[in-house]
Amino acid sequence: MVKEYVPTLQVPKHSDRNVGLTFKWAGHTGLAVHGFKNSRTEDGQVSDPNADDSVHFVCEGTILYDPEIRKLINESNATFIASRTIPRGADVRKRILELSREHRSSIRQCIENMQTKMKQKNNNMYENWVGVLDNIDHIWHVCELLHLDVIPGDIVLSKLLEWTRLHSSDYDLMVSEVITHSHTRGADIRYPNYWDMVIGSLIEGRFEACRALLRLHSEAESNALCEAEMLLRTIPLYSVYSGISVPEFTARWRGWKSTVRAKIDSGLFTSRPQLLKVMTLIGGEEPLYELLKPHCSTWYQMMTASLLLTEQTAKIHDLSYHAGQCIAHYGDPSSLKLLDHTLLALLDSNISAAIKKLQLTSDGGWCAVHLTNLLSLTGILSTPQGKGVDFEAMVLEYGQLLMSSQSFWQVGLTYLEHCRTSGLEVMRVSLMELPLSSEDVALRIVSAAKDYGLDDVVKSVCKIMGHQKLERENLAGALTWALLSNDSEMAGNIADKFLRSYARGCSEVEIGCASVLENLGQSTLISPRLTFLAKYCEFHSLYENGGVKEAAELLVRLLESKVSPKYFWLTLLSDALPLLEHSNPPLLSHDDTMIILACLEELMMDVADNIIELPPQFSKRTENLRIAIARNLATTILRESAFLSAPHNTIKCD
Amino acid sequence: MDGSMASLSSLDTRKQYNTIERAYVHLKVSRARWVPVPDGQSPFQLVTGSYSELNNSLDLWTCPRGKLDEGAPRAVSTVQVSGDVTELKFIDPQTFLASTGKGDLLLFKVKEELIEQVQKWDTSQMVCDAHSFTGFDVADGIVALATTDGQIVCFPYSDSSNAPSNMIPGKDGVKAVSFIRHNEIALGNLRGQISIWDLRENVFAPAITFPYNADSAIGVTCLSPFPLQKHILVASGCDGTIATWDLRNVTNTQTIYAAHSKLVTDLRFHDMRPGNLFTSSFAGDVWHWNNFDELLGASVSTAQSFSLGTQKPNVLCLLPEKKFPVNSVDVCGDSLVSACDNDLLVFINSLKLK
Repeated sequence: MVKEYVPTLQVPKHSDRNVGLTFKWAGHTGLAVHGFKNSRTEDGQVSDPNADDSVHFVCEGTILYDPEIRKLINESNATFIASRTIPRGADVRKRILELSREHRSSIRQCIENMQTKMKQKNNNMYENWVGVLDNIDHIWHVCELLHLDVIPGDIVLSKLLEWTRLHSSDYDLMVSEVITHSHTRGADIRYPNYWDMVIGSLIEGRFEACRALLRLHSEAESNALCEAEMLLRTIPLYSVYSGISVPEFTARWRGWKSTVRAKIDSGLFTSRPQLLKVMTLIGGEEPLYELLKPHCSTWYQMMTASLLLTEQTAKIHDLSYHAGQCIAHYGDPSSLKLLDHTLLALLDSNISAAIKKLQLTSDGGWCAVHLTNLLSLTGILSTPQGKGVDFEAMVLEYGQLLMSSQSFWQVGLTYLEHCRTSGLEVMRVSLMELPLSSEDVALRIVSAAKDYGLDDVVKSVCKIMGHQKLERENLAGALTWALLSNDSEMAGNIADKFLRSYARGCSEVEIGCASVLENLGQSTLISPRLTFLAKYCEFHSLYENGGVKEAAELLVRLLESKVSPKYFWLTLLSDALPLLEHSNPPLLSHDDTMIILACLEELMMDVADNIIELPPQFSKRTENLRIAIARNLATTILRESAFLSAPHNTIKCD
Repeated sequence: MDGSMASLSSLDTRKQYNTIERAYVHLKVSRARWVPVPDGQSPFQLVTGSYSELNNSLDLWTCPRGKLDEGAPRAVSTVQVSGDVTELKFIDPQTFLASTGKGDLLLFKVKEELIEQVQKWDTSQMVCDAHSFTGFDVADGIVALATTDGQIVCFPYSDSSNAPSNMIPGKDGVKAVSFIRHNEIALGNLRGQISIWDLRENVFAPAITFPYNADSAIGVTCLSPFPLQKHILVASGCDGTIATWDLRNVTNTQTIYAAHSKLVTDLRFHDMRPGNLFTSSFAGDVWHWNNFDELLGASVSTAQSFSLGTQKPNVLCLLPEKKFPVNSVDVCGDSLVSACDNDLLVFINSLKLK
């Protein structure tokens, strides 16, 4: 049972009439909690139920904001990306192992940084974290040795020794200090825990160190100690690569053990109880748990020691039996902690159980995701041992957690892209939820969304940015974002706004968007309305720069094509007025003038039918136009008929 | 003396170029700039500005000198600022300016292992809408500051009187701003319009305007004159290209280099050897162009034969593309620092400069 790892929180009470709680999700990682109370007071009065109401926001202790954890998240992300891009043809298993070591070195680095920080600031702010990370490192290491690495012949002892040596350095430092600094005998007198060191080195399989210590004993010359040293020197050690078969080794092992027991029985060590203990430990056929226990701080240390001393050829599937034997010596199974449960599951090769336990670690899913990732690459998840692990769901959850932060959303994307079923959907939702705090951030989101083909996100982000600009009456800025997403509808709306504002204040000399639309090339083609606006600006610039003839032609084409919105017709027609008045030579041909007249008639009809709003000074302006049109028609009829009849004059009939 | 020289040169043949070191920090860094050191020395301090954080800050970092593997740079001094740091530039070896997205322009001094705020301008007096700054440029003691809504204010930074000397009124966003000469500035926006303004003339209309890309609107992200020939403008675009013009004849002298695959975030010429250009992009790559002067024909006599595009660019990709954008690049001596979006500072030492 792992009940004690469910965190319990007390919601602060404002009165003692609280009778229950309601809660709702607030974002991805938080809850909004409200303690409701009995609205009747003790004397039966109904009090104001709204008085003194507060909603508490409960957030998961998030991993996202601590500077040291941040480094870990980003470093492990780099390793994660590397693991997902192992080149073809590479030795995958070897690479996985390297990456696993990379992860562990990040963890160690993080622990070290935290410890340095605590020392500098003289506080224990990271104590919890160091504990959590230490456990993770422990679990990771054993998982790496047993399940990521290839174990030749399934013989696990050397791996277990490697593991316990790294994590139970109780005596290691001291032993190496004693050995390197003492050159004279009498270490047993100088160091009160001399025998603990001897047994400590023995059960970790450091026989060299053990013998070196014995040689430093004040009576190292004595027969007993010499014999003991001699026996330790000849201890048979099993190795898959030694070329000795298991039965052959077992025979040798038994022979050596009986030699040890013969020496013990001969009374050689009787006068030295401590040495006798050492000899009994190595001479026993069965594991002597009671003797080992004082020297092993944990059950797994004891398990390794007992395997070393009695069953060197144990295979990986024997481990759960041995583990069970040792745990029994460490109290009630219910007192086992999460760490123990996870380790047990790993020793039991029950990968799915181990991962489930890992998910309970309070690291925001960090360890579970990254370790499972490596395990999944080895293919173990598709075997019965790893059945039932939903790796994708884990990645999705972790990715979502990262996406909820403005600092990590890009990191989150790199996880979500590996969720085939719902990754894109979550990306879409999470990207839209990110605050668009600046233009620069918006550009980044757009770029990332484009990478994943999320065109709707691109469009919506640009739309929001465009609207922000519109709210500030920055039409140019809004147009920029419409162009960035090729949003023809938005571009059209903006062009409309430009046109309306110009149509309303027709007296303005210059249309405000000429500089905005300058040099946009084909981009103005994304919306017909924008194209019209650009053409209209072109008309203005032609007219102002003396290209009156071209300007007139362009204006007529604009009127003829009827691409212009109706509300803008009067503006266009008014622009035609000075051109119509150009009489010598006329700029507008008879046909052109007829087009203008037709437009004017249509506009008059529409105004009469109330289809469009009555523009200011409508009648006066149309009257002026009519006069100009009439005059121009008169001139052009004469001129053009003269021009047309000219050929007739040249033909003479005899 | 001779002996040591010889040994140095023999060392040189074995010298490892472009060695890369990475350091994770705990901030999203928008700008990382070396604290300048005299020519010939290696820089060892840098200032970073953060963005998108709950609390944004300017940080001074000291790198362990000497051996390469002496560990990560150490944050030695931090100053909290309001809003994203949008630009950060040193104006002399001890002084730098920083602008923020919340409308602050700040002047700092670096004193050994400390950064100290010297001045904060009351920008609300200078511009009508000082709610956010996109960036600035400095030349000859004058700052040209760009607001999100496109106003440009120019004023001498040594003068605390808050009196702007020039203003370009705007209603249109500016993405890139750069001095060309002390009286000329270039502006670029996300619609790809580049305009050159002569500050001596009336500032209501640009002297020249031209498109970054004549075919379609490609946003401009960075602008800089080529340091050896100020009439040559170098710009980068949202599509990852780098373009150059001769401002004396903009219509016929454009060259576009198809370079990065995504938006170019920073563009920086080496101070002492301007033939070396460094660019970074959203695609996460950093490029070293080591014959930019030749590309521009600057090594040939400039007056008579100005020919763009006769040479092929010689580019070395210092950092390959990856998942995270590179936000800035800075070079001092033969050391480069770039800031990536996953809280990573990448240092490249022993650059092979030409």
